Amino acid sequence: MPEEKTPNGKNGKSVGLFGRFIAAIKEAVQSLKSDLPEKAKEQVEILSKPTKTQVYTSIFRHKHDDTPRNRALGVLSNVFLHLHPAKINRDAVRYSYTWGMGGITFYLFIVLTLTGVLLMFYYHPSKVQAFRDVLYLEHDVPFGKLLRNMHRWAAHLMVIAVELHMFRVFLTGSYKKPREFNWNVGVILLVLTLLLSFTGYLLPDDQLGFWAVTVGTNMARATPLLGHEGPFGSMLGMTPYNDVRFGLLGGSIVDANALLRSYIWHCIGIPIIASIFMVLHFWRVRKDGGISGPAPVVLDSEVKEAKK
Amino acid sequence: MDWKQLWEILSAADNVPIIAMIPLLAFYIYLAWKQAHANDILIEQLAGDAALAKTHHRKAWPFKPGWAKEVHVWPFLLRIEFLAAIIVTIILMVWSITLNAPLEEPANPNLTMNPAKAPWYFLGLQEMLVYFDPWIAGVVMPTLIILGLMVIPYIDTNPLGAGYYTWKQRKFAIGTFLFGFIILWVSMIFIGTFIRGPGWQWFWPTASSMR
Repeated sequence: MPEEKTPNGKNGKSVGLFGRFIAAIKEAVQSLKSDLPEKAKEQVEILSKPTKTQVYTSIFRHKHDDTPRNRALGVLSNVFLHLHPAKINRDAVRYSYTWGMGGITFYLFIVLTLTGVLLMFYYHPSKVQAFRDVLYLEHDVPFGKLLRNMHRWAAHLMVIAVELHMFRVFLTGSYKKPREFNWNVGVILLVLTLLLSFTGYLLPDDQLGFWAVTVGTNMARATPLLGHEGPFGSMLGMTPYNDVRFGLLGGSIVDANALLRSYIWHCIGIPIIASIFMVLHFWRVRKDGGISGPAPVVLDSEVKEAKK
Repeated sequence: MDWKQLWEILSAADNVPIIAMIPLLAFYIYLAWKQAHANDILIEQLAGDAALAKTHHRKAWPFKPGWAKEVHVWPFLLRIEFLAAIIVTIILMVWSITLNAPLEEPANPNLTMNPAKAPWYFLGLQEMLVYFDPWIAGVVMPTLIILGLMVIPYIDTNPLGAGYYTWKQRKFAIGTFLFGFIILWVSMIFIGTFIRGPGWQWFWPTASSMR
């Protein structure tokens, strides 16, 4: 007879159920008393070999013995490393060929993200606060000056690294078939890097940034069709209050709206766009067959033979 | 020469990256040229000897038959990446401790900076403002540079020189790029940074006439 149909306390059965329950608990306590020391001992023993614990094996899914299989798995089963293949051409790690500038650019992007997030804790993008926040950062925040310096110099270094990366890719002909598209993605990333740096320039709200951005955005006035001083601009009804410069600055002068806009582009907008293109860039490096070289040299005569 | 003034310009915090970039660029041009030269010699040697071309290792680097053609990324690539990250971090730390990021007076629309300069990497474009109308220098030329860079892979149909440094197989392509990058881009930045003073006039760091 199913137990749930029995009315509580109305007949002897429920008392029996209660009794059984108590007995089970007693038994469990008794077994704990006798087994627990043994189980604890077992656990302590396992702890002396931490790589055997369930916690460890649930995080690291492969062994760490120095075997080719484990070396490959170390790369392939790690989300941060799996952009790499397990094995690469022995010459592809030659620094004299690669210069490492693409990787350094990505590393600097990470450094800039970290220092940038920390800077955001101390910064208000408003005309009243911005400059004072930078002064506060420089003089009162522990390591604030170092933080700001690192952000600025890493940004300059990133521009240099991007340009050197492009220079290397050009000199080794790495944009050639089948990597044409990835070169284009790279050009977009170059532009985004420059824009990231440029939008950050205004944020301290000092004379340097203000006039640099004024000079920069004044050129937008002269945009053909879209600027009010540009060719055909006035014919299309462009004025200082509706042209492309107005859209960039959120006003006709570099003021509070421009500060807010460049803050949002700098901290959120462009980093997101750049991240998407970076994902695409790295993905295509792999899909286009990894790094372009160092490839075996090809002779002129061989290419002509192949064409015939 | 007014050395003090020269030093003041060269040591201005925001100019340091440009100073740093020039020896870096020189080093990497040397590195590329060295490998291009070695490859060119190899190419010439193989082109002149068909039998050798069939058997010879096609890289200027040595290769012995027993060697594995591939290496594990862990550790052979990852250690390089790790080392590069550490070196960059050290450089950045030392740079940030020794040199402060510039901070001028609070922004003041009524007090024009003279000269008002764009960030250093845009000074090439600002220098162009001297020679062209704003809509050409500031809008059309950047657009053309970007589009020009983007169409390079589709214009350069030369199948040679993909994946190795060479000069003799790609003289025109490399010559053009060097001209555009070094002469038009880097040296314009250099002029815009160091030789342009108030009113965007030529500003040689020489004596008395500047005072």
